[in-house]
Amino acid sequence: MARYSLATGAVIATNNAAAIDFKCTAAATAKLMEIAINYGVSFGPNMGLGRPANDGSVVQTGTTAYQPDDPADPASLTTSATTWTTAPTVPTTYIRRFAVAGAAGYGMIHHFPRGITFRPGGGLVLWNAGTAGNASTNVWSSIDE
Amino acid sequence: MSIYSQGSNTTVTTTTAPAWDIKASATNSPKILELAVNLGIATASTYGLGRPGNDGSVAQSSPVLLQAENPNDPAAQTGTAVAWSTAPTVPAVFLRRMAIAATIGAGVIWTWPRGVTCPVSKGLVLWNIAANANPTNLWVIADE
Repeated sequence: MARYSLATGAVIATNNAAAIDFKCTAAATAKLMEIAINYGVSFGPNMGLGRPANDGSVVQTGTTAYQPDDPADPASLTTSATTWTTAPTVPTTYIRRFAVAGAAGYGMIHHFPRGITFRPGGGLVLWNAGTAGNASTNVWSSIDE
Repeated sequence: MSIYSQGSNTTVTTTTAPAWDIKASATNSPKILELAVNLGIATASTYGLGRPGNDGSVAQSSPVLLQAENPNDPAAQTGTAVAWSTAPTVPAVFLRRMAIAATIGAGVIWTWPRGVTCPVSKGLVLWNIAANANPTNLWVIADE
């Protein structure tokens, strides 16, 4: 197992839709160790983190792969995306749900000491949960793969 | 392996430019365990951390070496800089990215329990994604 990191500064802001998702290939599994959500402008929406209801069927486009914390490790098999040909659907039950005060620089860091496991070909979605999202949201995450 | 620390600040706050970098020597490969960014004045700031696009080619000017937490350990070989003869270029993919509220003392502490490796002669750059607070305080911990 090796550690990988990834950060982005732009997510999807549509109400009741995926903001960003994270998915591993069918040949791999990964554990989410940390995810941070940090608002770049003064607007803090309600968000949820969970497994997409259609987990395993999501098809990402325009993917960005995680970067190894040690460049000597193999390339990651886990990617993030904000566009899809088959988008993630709303989780049946969230693993985390939260709102943060609407001020630039505010946010939250969720830690999972033993990791939240991605099934092979599956993943997690950060969901705009009932309010319009904030497109200028920074998201960083760390996985064990 | 020994633990080394350094506190510093940067006044290089130009948007889309490096604010600070850390680089391994030609003979070591440290692991960064913690990096903190802390605003010295009330300017909303956005920083990113990643491997420079020109990683391995960066030439630091007047690098400052980290300090051994145990003075009995050898001197650090890893240095930080805020000026360069060949400056770091923007990372292709950021490892961390953070907006910080316009409040003195606001900031972030990033931690990596297993460390982020700087290979030989390579490193990490803290990148100004916006016109950032001048000064911005930093501290870093490395296992070397």
